[in-house]
Amino acid sequence: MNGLFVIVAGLFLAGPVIAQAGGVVESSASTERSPVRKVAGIWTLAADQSVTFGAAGVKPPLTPAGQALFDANHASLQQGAVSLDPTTSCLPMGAPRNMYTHFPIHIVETPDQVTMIFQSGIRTRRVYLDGRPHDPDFDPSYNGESIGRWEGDVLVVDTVNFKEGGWLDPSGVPRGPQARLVERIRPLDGGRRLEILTTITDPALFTAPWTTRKLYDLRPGAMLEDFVCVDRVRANPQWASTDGGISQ
Amino acid sequence: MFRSAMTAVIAVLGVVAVQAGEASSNTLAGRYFAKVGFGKEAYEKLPALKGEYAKVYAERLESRRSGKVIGDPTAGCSGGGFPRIMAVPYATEILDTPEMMIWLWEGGDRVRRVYKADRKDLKSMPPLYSGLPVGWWEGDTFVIQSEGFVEDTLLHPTGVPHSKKLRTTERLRFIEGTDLLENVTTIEDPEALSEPWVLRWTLKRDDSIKMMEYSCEENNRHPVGEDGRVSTNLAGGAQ
Repeated sequence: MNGLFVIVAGLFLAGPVIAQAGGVVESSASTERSPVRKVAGIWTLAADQSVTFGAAGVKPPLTPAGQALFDANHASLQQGAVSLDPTTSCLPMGAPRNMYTHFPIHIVETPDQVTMIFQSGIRTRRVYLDGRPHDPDFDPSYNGESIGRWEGDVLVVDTVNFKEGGWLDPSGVPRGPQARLVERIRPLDGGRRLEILTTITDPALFTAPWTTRKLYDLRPGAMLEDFVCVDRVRANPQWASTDGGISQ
Repeated sequence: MFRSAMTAVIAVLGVVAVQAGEASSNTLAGRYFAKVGFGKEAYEKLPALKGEYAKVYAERLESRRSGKVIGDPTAGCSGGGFPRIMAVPYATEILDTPEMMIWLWEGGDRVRRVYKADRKDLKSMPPLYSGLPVGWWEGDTFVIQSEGFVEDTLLHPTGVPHSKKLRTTERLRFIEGTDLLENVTTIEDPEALSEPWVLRWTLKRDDSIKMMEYSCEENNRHPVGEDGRVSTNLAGGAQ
């Protein structure tokens, strides 16, 4: 297993240790801890990080309903069909999938809000830090409704109210409307790296909470171009042919 | 490019400018909706276009009369671009950071980064839908100058085209004693326009607005009712 995914059972005092199907995902060693309480900046997923939620070889802890969706998505991908993937129609990836691409993420901190602007598709996600509770009338969305709070140097983000039909990652693991994400975001290495521990729970699709850890690198001075999905697809129509197959 | 243009504007107007990048206690941060978008004036005083641009515009007007829209990137969910994007009724959020003023448009979920410093590396950027903007404070007015626009965007919803030489200069300020943010934009394009065109519109600040997710690709803000009519789904205070 990737060395970044330290499997340790007895280090509860060193930082959050979260149960995961097939093991335990632990936050980084205390020597990496940073007193910086800042997540703002332009970040990219570290080069050695995968774009799938789980580590290679880890089976998602899916209920029969979740497994059926995953199998259908996975089978379609195996056959070269992409039409089940919402993003091939340029629909938003939504959280947390938009955190698992190699395109930059611009995070902006203002007094009561952390805003994540994703270059891929140009999408915006807002995390409210003004103490509001979740809104029972919130219109379900791709990014869900995110409420955040600081716990020391860790920004904890709680997200619910997802739209139906999303994918958790490009492998086709489903994300349903009952999903709840808890992300623990904190700077490392003096603010040059960002660590995000993400746990998804969903009684409809998952048998147990499932956690992943991702690392991001700060890109000081980066300037972001436009990335309008429909422009790219029109320039490359083979990406989304009408029958769902990929033509060459 | 930007520095020299900035200097020229300052000289003409005879005002004392806050140097680009210098801290200011002023801010445009907040959430807004269009109090007066592209008002009547913007439809009555359209710019005089030159040669081929006038011909293209005439063709677009005719296509709109026939119900078939041509030459409008937003019809296919591509970028609206500045200034045309200001004509839509959706909410706008402005985030203010030391390095940039960030405009987040709910309509189409678009972003525009207005750099406060005269970044030399802007010149290495490809054209963007909303140009490559640099902004600075002049007293209570935030001035934004933009060049480097994607060429196929429109200046106006009726289809007014522009060339790659488009340059805009915006002057934004709160109307004294109100929460109304006025933007006066001078549009210059020596290739497409016979003379500069001035647009003005007003945004009303209302931080109670709830910014919504907008996915043009699924048409989720323009639902079609059972009677076949298209409506516009606005949220928060944007009524």
